[in-house]
Amino acid sequence: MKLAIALTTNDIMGPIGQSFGRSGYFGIYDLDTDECYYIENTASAHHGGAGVSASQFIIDQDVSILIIPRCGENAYLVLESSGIALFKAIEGNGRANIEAYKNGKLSSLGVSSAGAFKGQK
Amino acid sequence: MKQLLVLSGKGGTGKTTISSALIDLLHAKAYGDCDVDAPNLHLVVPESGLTEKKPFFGMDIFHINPDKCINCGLCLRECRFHAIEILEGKHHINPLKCEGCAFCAEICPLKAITPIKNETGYTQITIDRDTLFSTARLHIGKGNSGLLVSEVKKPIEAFVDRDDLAILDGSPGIGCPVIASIRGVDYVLIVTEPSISALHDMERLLKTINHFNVPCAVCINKCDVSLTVRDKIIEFCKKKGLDILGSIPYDQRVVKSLNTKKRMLDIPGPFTSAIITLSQNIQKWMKIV
Amino acid sequence: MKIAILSGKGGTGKTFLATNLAYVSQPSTYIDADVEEPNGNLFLRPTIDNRHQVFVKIPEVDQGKCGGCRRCTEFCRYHALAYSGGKLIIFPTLCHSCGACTYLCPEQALKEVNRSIGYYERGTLEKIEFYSGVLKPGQLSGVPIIETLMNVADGKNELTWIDCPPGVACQVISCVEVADYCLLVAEDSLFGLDNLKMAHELAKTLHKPVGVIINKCFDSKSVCDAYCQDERLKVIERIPYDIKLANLGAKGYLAAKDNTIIYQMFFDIYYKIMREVDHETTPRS
Repeated sequence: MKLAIALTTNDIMGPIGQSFGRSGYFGIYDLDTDECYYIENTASAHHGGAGVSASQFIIDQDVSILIIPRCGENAYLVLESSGIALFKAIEGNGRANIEAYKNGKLSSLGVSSAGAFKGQK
Repeated sequence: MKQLLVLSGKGGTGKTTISSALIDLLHAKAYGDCDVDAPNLHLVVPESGLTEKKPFFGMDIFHINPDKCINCGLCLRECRFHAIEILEGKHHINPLKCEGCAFCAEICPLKAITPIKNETGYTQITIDRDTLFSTARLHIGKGNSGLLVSEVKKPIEAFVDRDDLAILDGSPGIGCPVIASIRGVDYVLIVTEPSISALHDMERLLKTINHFNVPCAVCINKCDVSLTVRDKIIEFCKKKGLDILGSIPYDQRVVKSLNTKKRMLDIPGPFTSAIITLSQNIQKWMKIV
Repeated sequence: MKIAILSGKGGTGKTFLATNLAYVSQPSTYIDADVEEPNGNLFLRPTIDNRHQVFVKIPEVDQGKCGGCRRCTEFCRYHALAYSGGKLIIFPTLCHSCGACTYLCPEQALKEVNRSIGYYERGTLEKIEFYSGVLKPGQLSGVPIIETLMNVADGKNELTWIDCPPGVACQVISCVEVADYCLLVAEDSLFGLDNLKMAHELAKTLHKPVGVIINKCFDSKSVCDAYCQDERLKVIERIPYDIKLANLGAKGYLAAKDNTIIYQMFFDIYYKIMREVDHETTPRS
């Protein structure tokens, strides 16, 4: 089973992407094999609708879980129909969030938009 | 990082003046001008430091290759933006009107229409010792862009640490640039003034802000220009549960000092004391030490 | 004669000036094109005669016909469509109404329908024909409303004052495009000067004759003087900063209406503007 996590750089030890649609990269982590690869988020360069295109992009990656700090209305509309489980990122880097997920420490994410996540670089 | 965005609804209430004072008093580590259409912050912040300017490209627009075009007129018929015109007998796309939808390129039977890069503005970062200033400007005639606003915010987000403060000077209105500036910020300060126009505009702005679930507070600038309207604003804020963190009196000397690029906080008087009180209230509200 | 009043910077006094000028120059037409934050109605308080919704075309999908081929989601440059959980989702606020998706759908599952993004209204005050546009909060662009206003307000009056939005982007362009003359209202401050330059550049780009009013002046000299001189920009009037006038404006009073001295002041400004406009727009043989 695979999960996707929004990252600022292509490094699981690096910071989480602050805004889902405009995150630099997604880490695709295989929970069974512990392997991780990175894909550049093409939506971040889009002039509008980055949340929508990032969501479509994630749906096409064949993941069952997505970890992001917050979710705008548009992205939420796309993701909720996809069947992908959304989890709210906590403070810490990508690796810390994945471990937290494995330990059942992450809560599920509803639609919010801004300001829900503070403090990360 | 704690990000404070300063908005107003109505233009001219004093966002930039207040933002620059707060940047000074609260020692913001990074600050930016999100009013990419008519930026002003660069006029009132320190000018020293290393500057890097980069061109900004909006959405690709389209261009008709006159050698391939047979003037069938299909593109002109379908273009919703009236961007295609006939000049000297040839079909031509007006770059000021093209919105980059690519419909014409798709339907052209000869594939004579191709995308071209469209430089619509520039971004500029200035780093002085350990503070960063990010600004941008749209070239005249180019469409406004939420992405350019996001580009102003990006270097700020990358630069600041956990407990640092970033201040963003916003734009008037409630449209796309304002929406793009609100995304991802932690606090919004509405700078208003005691005029009926400003009160009306603040109500509309609040409807936009409320989509985003961000804590919001108010500062009344030029508060003594009309005491009756000022009282209306106070009543409105009370009704909406909005804290008023500052009431700043109008002081002509401040405008004059800004015009001569002097530090306005060096002028003693009720303006400066009120701004200091505002900054202290903001510190408490944003839980900044 | 259509005169666009713009400034680049917000808060220079465009609306205060435009509404009072419309008042002293009756019969006249006044258009409030600041559809994001319209304020003209607060000063003129016209009797509203009618209101019309402004629509844009947005695609609507017949999910039964949609085969999930994703042609539309992949084509759309604005990412206004997505395919998720076996259905097509459309985002009206991202859509630019280009019509491409509807045209390209191989199953003809998309059809364009009207969606309101706001409205415009028409009203009257004495002999002023009043028009105003209002954008729904949450909508990204007011340009379609402004374009509608410029079309419908081509009414019976010889003189039209177009009260433009702040800034110099697409909304302002839609106003300036149809104008015969641009009146730039500059604030006597560093900010005002910087934005005056931008407004001037816009007017030049669109090849419109230009004149300047410097508002809220503190002294006989203004920070805008040197620029106006270098650019040979005609300064039609300098309005001194007046706390009483500021107070009237703040309270939303149509200052020229109940005060003969202020009426005369605005009338003089109107006269000077028209003299300059005639001079600039009369074709020279």
